[in-house]
Amino acid sequence: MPNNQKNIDKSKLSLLKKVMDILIPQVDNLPSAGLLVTDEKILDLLNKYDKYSSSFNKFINALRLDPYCRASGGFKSLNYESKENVLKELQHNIPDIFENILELIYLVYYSNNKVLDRINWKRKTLQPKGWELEKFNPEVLDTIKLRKPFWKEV
Amino acid sequence: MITQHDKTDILIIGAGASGAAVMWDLSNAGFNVVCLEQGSRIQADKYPVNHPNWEELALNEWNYNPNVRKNNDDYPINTDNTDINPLMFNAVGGSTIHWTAHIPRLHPSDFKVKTLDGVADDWPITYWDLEPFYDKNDQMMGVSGIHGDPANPKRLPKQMPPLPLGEEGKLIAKAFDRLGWHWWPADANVNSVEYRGRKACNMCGPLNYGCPRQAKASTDVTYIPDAIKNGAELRVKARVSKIETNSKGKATGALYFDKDGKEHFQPANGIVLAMNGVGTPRILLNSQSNAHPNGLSNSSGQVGKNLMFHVFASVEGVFDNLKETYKGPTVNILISQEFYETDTTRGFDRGYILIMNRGTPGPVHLSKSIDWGKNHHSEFEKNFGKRLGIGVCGEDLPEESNCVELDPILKDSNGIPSPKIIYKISKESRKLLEHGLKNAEIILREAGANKIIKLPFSKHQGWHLMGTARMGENPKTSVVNKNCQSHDIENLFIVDASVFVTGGAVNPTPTIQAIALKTSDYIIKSRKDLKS
Repeated sequence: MPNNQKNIDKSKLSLLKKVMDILIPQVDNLPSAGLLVTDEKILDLLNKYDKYSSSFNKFINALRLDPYCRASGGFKSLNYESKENVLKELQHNIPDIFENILELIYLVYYSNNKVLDRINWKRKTLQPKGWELEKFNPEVLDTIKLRKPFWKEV
Repeated sequence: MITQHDKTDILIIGAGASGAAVMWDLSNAGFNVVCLEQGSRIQADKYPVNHPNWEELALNEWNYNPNVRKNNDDYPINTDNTDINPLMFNAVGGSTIHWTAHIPRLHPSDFKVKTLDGVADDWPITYWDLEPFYDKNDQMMGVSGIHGDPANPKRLPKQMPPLPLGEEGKLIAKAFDRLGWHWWPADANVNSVEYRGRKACNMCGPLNYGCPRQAKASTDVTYIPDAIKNGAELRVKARVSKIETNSKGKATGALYFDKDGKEHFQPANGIVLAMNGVGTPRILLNSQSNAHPNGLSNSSGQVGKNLMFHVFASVEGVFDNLKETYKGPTVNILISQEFYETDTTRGFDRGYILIMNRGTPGPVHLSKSIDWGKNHHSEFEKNFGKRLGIGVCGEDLPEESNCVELDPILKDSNGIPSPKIIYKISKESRKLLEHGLKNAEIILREAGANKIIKLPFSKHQGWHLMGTARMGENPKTSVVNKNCQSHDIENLFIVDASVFVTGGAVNPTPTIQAIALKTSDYIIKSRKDLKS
């Protein structure tokens, strides 16, 4: 159920975008997710759904409290491999929260027109066009039709 | 101040699969009918598939899980102690808004599991008792399919030809043929041609989030419009808190809240409960009184007990030669009942069906099941439009310890106590799933899958809510008799899947609707005293 506008901490949003860069890296001529998507789209989903905003806050807090991140000057200071390892550990330790964050990020990324063009996704809206309804060809039943009834009589 | 309404002949609570069928049948026979539905009437333009952000809507406002969805029409459910989350939709049409409209029937053997296999209990009715009502329901809902399935008793010709299998369906069908295993095109309440003024399917894909073309038969577009033409009254956003009884032990009507939180009382000669295996025991338990200290219709102590889901898991395969497996209904393609009946050599009782699905319907749904990070894009390319799945839907036998209770703390927005689910998957069910998943993998490999993905077991699969007010001949061990009439309250009937004695291994909706029509037939023929 969509909710009212929430106060989203800009520094937390900036950190999430660094995480997005690791989760969905650059491909072809598209930059990584954090560089590609707008704050507006992320904020839109965070404002609409408690599920994402509450996971967002918990996830960023867990990231900030991660001992390896703290000892190394924060997530942003880590090299690529270390960032990946920290995220894998969070996925293991807080799976439900991590899943919601992934869902949020995929929703944002795969609503970007450049991304949809790249994956050749032609039906951004499924209706009213849909796809072609072919006719059923009964020839496919030729083998199974030979089988005798085998339901159990009682 | 409680608003008192005029007395009606029959009060139906719930406008989903079963309530709508009873509403139509009784109003057709001249009964005055009022139906109370806690949800709203959904306008077709609201369905996710009309919108570019349909995956966002599907995962949130249209999520199957009311605890995730949290719409105003939903009530919260305590799911801390269950292996499977109950899924449902609260609206006019109920969960038929969300269903995949796959309509296999129970088998004759499903009604005799105690006699045949020594497990659970036999039903007090047979397949043949229900058959005419299955057929009557098919006429109203419309079936796309083809007769001649060797796994089931003969049936009347279907109303429409089957939906196409597509290249991907043919691939899987041929694999079944080579293995010598049964398969058949799925019977579907989805139009393959125009039927009763509703359009044919246009293969958009995720039919399980509402169909704006009305090609899928949800009861808001089948039974309910005809019931309203007959003069039945449907009141939406009407949440029932309690059924009242009198000193003679009869139900007198129901108390409910309207959308503004105001309380009403609707008196009736007879009451039909038509919610689901969670909603119905919730109302019965909430209707406790001095005369009924354990809840209404609960002298047996069986209300809320024996909760059954079907156990479900699936395996997916990646097929390099396929490109667009997101075209067409996500499920409802073909079904195998090769492993339906008990075979004691397998190490478990009863059986399962195998159901083909078209894998992931959109980019976000796919991404959730592949790697993030360096491999994300390459995995996406290898999988998108190339996945097919085989789902295993297995019988889940009743156990008293699996139940719906009232939560002592959790309440809905009207202050009505919420249900708490206590459920553990049995060892038998786990063995059954394991067996089914191995066979699902065999089919996908035979069909040419170059990669197999075993999807992790998910809690998010409680589509079918059954058994919590079961039918039986003995009032000490069951809640309703073979006419779905309460043993304790002679003018109270229950017509949803709560009354199932066992669940078989097939989707329950056509059986729910057949039971509902059988019950209304009984009321029409034998309970003229309920008609003013």
